[in-house]
Amino acid sequence: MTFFDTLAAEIRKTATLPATIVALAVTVLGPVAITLINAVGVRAALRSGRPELTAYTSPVEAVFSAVPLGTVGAVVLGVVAVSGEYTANSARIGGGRQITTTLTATPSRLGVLAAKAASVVLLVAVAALVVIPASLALASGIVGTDAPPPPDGVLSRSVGAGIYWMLTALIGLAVTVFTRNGIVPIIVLVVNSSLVSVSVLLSHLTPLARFLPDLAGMSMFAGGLLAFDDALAPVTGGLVMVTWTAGLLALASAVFLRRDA
Amino acid sequence: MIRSCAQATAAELAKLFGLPAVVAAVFGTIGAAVAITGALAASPVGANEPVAVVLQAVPYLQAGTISLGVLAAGTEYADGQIHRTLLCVPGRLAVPAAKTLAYLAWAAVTAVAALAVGLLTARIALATRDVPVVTDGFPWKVVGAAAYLALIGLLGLALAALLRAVVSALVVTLSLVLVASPVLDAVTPHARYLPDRAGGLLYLPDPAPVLTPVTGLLVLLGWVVVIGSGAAAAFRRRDA
Repeated sequence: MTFFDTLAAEIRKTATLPATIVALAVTVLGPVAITLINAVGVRAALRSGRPELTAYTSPVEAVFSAVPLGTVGAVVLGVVAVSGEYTANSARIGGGRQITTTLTATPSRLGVLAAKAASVVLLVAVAALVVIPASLALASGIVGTDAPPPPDGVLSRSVGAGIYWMLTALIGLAVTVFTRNGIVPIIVLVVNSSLVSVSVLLSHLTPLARFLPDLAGMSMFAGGLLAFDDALAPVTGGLVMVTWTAGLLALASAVFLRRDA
Repeated sequence: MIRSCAQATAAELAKLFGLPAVVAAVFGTIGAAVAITGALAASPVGANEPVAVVLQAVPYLQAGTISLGVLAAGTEYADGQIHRTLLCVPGRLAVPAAKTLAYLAWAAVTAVAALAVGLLTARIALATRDVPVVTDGFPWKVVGAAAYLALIGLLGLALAALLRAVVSALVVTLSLVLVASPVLDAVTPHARYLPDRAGGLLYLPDPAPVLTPVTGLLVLLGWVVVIGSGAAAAFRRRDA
């Protein structure tokens, strides 16, 4: 089996999981719906001449404040791609786990993990390519001519949000390789991608918290929305998050190579 | 009827006690209460009063009781346990009722323990910072916080019974409560009718007095009753 066969198999497996459909729907419809509500609110505030009613008046910010919902979808995608392999079937049909079949078909463990990571990145990238331009177009269409001139760097922030989603999905994948069960990674990562994030709490305690993967990565797209001071520069933050992701994936590969399936 | 319901509740309580994930969720919530109140009390954004620090920790702790509720209902469907449950207790209304009662008992104990441990931690952490501790009367807001924690987890239980899966119920409930609600609150005042915002009035002061703590509680109960009766109706009609 070549790597491309493995990749094709993993894409087919990941894309046909029921949870993946839900995750992609959350990633695509969630930010679009929130953008819609945000943009209508912004338009109402601008038309009534009271822009102080909303936290921002730019249609671009209406889009980027909806990014956390897409992060939830990315987390779910990364986690279920691995946890689906370890979920036992119903006892009536033998109680087997898909991972044994996977490793029988593709004995190369690193190949399986690399193909899984690549398929998750591809799916998230497709979702991001659809949803971010669609949300931007929707927001500027709704707010229309009342909008203030767009801030700089919309393109780089959009790319940053897409990269943030992909890296978050990969972190979810790596953590689930350790736990072999999706429940704990989903609780921890969804809580941490919300506003009551433990990372944000830590950032009030120590300035080192800005090097945590999520806070570092958020600087790629958040602009002025970031909830804490002295954040890293976007490129530095992105590199810090890439380092975390690479480190976690390397650890996950070591664990996946050494442990019984 | 009452006797069989009581027996079913006893059975559900025993089942929850035997689930490692439920026990882990209980101790995880209590452990998180210690860590988060400690961090809040030590940080400059935290309040200077134990009760206020604990109330600031409630938005984090709700993830614990939501997990508890989702696990209580969702694990029945993981490996066909629901078939055995319905063989032993054929009443299709008795099972959800017993499950709700058993969950509420567990959630109440968890919430009270987490908040009590959190109060203690906040007190100790503030004492090490030499902040004078003021106590005025019985902290009724902490009781409200415990009620809120149990009820928001009941929402997770109802959604898990409706969706019949742990992971999707967790994702839906957590992203509604923790992600969608703050994002919507930044834009529209109608976000105050979301379950966590309305229920939050049980322990938070109300910034815009449209809902009082009592009406907020009723709104949260309304969400729970609507989703819960949908789940109960689906449970009656659907094949297990």
